Amino acid sequence: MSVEVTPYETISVVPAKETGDVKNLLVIATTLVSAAVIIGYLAMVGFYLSERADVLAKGEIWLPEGVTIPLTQPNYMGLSIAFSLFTAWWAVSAVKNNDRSNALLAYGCTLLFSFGFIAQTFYLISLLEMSASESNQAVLLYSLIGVHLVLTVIGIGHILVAAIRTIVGDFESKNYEAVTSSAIFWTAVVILYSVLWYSVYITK
Amino acid sequence: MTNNENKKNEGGLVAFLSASDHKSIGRFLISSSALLLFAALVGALITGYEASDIALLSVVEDSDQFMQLWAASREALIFAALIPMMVGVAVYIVPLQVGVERLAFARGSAAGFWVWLLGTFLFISSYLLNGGPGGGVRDSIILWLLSVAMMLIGLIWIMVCVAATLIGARAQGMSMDKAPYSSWSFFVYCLIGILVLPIIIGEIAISFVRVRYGDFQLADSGQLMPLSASLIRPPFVFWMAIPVLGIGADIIGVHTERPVKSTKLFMMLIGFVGFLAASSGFAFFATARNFEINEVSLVALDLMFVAVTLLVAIPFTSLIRGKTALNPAILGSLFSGFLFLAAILISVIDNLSGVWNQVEINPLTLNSFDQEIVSNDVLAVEAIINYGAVFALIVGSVILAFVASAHHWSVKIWGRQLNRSLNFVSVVAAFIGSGSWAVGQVLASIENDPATVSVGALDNSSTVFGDLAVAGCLLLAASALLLVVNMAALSSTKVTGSAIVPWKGLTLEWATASPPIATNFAQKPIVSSSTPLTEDVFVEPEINQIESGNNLPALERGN
Repeated sequence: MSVEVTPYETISVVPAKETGDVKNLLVIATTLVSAAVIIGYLAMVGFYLSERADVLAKGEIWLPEGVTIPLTQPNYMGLSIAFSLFTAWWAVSAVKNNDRSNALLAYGCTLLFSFGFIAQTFYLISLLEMSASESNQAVLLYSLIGVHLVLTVIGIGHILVAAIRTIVGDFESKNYEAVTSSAIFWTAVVILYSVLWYSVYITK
Repeated sequence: MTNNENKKNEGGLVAFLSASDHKSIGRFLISSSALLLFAALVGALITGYEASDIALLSVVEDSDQFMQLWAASREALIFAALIPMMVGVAVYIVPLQVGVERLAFARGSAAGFWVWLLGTFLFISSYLLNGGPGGGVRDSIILWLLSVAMMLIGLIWIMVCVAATLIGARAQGMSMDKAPYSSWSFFVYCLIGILVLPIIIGEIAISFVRVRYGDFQLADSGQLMPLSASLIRPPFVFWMAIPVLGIGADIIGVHTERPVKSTKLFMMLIGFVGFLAASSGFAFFATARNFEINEVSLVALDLMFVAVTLLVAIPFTSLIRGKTALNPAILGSLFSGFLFLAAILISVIDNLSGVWNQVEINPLTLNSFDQEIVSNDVLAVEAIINYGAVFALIVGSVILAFVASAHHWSVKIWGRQLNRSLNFVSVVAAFIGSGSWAVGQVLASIENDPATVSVGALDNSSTVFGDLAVAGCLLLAASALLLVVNMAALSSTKVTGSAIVPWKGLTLEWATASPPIATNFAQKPIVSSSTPLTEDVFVEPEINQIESGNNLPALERGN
């Protein structure tokens, strides 16, 4: 098959002016992903609330007999993750100001609070004493807790990478987009916990 | 980069597997989704044939297998063909149209492609291993859930890359209202996809826990059907056709040599249609998919009809006043727009007639809408009666836009022009096929009493009119096959240098070589209007004047 061609070298129709045109792509992408994660999780919560409303409308009780959701653990988990949100943004601010010691302290606190959150989540699950194979309620509850746990682990991984790269000097005041990005995703994780806390743990 | 370097970079299995250039990823998506489109349509053809006489199954063994094949063909159409087709075109064209060297997160988009492809293979495997809705093997059902999630995650991630490119990496001077129509429609499309598709992933997560750990019984596997049926129902189904509007406007503008005017209005209307599709989609999901007519979807449908009518009508100014042209690209765009409009029209009539006949209220005022007045069953049946027809039209609309895009940007994608005659046949077959499938569905629904229709809620069961739908599927499959053959013929030959561009485009993708060099542009472009290759759209683009005032060498163009 023969095709008429023009050499690449003759194709040049644009001016020779260099521009800086890329703006915060990582922050934009993380915001979009966080929005997607929030929507997906809210859909799950909506499904849970819808099923619960149907059961309650029939005059039945929602949680299986003998099952209680304690409040102490969810509340402490809420406090832990709320503190971690504060420290995650503290890390952003510190990196932005080239304050390495504050940045490392903030990262350390964030990771400490977030690991504490995960430990308390597992403890809470052990207290529930509810088998997923026995009720629809357990399936929905474990789905919500499990997915949030997965998101938490992803968020911690993101923060951990940002922390390590800050330690090795990759990020500083002129290049801290990835740090902001990790904080944005972590914010989404915290927002989702507040939804889980109210819709499941508080209103049960 | 020299030709030899280009060739070197393009060859080899390692280069294939590690490719992260948006052009390679775009080509992979385009070619694999076209192949999968054909396979999915063959599946739809078989289900249509079986549905012609649901009591006498001849290809599948029982109703469970019928359900599996039905679900597999629809899911494959949506997740393996229609969405990836549009995403593939977006991945290839958007960076060229907005004047950048690459897609944002090039390796991320490559990862998204491979996740989607792996998910597609697992998806097919799961059905072969008796999974999916109606499946009889628990592990295969789990595999099916995971595979659909993988396909969605892959597609969403690619959409994030496209949307991020459009938000943050456009050429200097290109504000969003100066972006080409196609890019804008892809932006709206991707944004809605990013926001709505995760809802399905959320439901998959719950279903996964239920099937894997819960009290799920295999006999109830048919209950997983709503998961796959969600996207085929209006008004949300119209989301899939949003790029049709932008692609059509760009194609008509180029081929008539008179770019579609009313830029801001046109873009606002596309955004508005997207907003309506998203809001009605959320409303649909919010009603737990019980197929009730809700106020949001009623209003959204009416407004969407008005908006899409305008979007189809505005380019006619170019058709009337511009250069007379008839080729597969322009014909495909026109047919595509008509099918989109017809799909919305059927939905509007469906909803209006359903409500008027049963409840005697004015849906526009939204008064007295009380589900308790009438049986929910009757209302629901009336509402779903033509969903199959609407889906058939949207499938046709997207396929036509895809064929039109492939023809229009053929030299940019493959460095060759697709065979014009084959594409003409492909366009006509897709148009007639989609129409026939839809008409068959509508007539079958009229022929059957609503109760019969509601039994399946899958396809309308009818001997005569069902055959019409089967013929439609056959034509659509033939259209897809022709396109695949056409593309395969181009892909089998090596490209050297730049092909002559057969028409006069004024957006940035026409300022590159065909196919583009590795960095797309020799130097970064600066734009000052929505038609950057000329300051006056009516002037022959012999000299491309850019903001800086430089007179630059013209592209060689054919006729």
